[in-house]
Amino acid sequence: MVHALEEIHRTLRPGALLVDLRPYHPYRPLELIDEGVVRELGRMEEGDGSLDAASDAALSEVFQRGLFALESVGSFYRCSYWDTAEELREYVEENFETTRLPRRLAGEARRAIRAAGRSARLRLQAYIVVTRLRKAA
Amino acid sequence: MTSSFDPEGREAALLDSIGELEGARVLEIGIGDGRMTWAYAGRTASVTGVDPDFESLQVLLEDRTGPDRRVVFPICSESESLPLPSERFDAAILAWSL
Repeated sequence: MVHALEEIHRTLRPGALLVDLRPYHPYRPLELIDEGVVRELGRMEEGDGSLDAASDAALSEVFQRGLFALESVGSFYRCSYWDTAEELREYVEENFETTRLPRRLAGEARRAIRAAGRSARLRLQAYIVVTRLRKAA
Repeated sequence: MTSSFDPEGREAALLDSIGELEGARVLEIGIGDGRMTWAYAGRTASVTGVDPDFESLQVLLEDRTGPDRRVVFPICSESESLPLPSERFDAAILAWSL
């Protein structure tokens, strides 16, 4: 990660902006949204947060070395919606490194969707942290 | 079956709020299939998008046929060794990739 930041630093002109957008774990609980009513179904299975910590450590190192200066940190929740638990499971397996949909939660989601109205969907919210950094001029 | 990602547009709004992308030469690390890119590419001079996943880069180009496509240049590479010149870009975005 530090090597990647060093490479980015090399390719940026002096004074250029670097924006790091990244989901922080854990995700909020998986929810069923049915005609405006929100019901929590359970939590995703997630890693120990070591990936977040490693990324933070890499940023910390480049600050300390003076490659970048910290300008600001912000955050927001980014929502994803699925019609079925299978869609969600496939997406998580293909795209997430340390997050899994537990079998029991997948079963609960399947039953909840089946019992709900036709417009019901599953929702997962990721906490996104936005860090703005500036390459030293 | 359908899925939707950020239909509230919070990520796009965040990118929209970064005024420095206007007319800038942007480097996006972890561009993938361009999920984030198309939200801001039209405002830039160019976006050089790096990702090690060749299939995602194919999707990036197949999914987009509009004029924004002309400013996006995908490169299949690891971010630890960028085949790019020094001091080239005005801004960089790490898209869920650090």
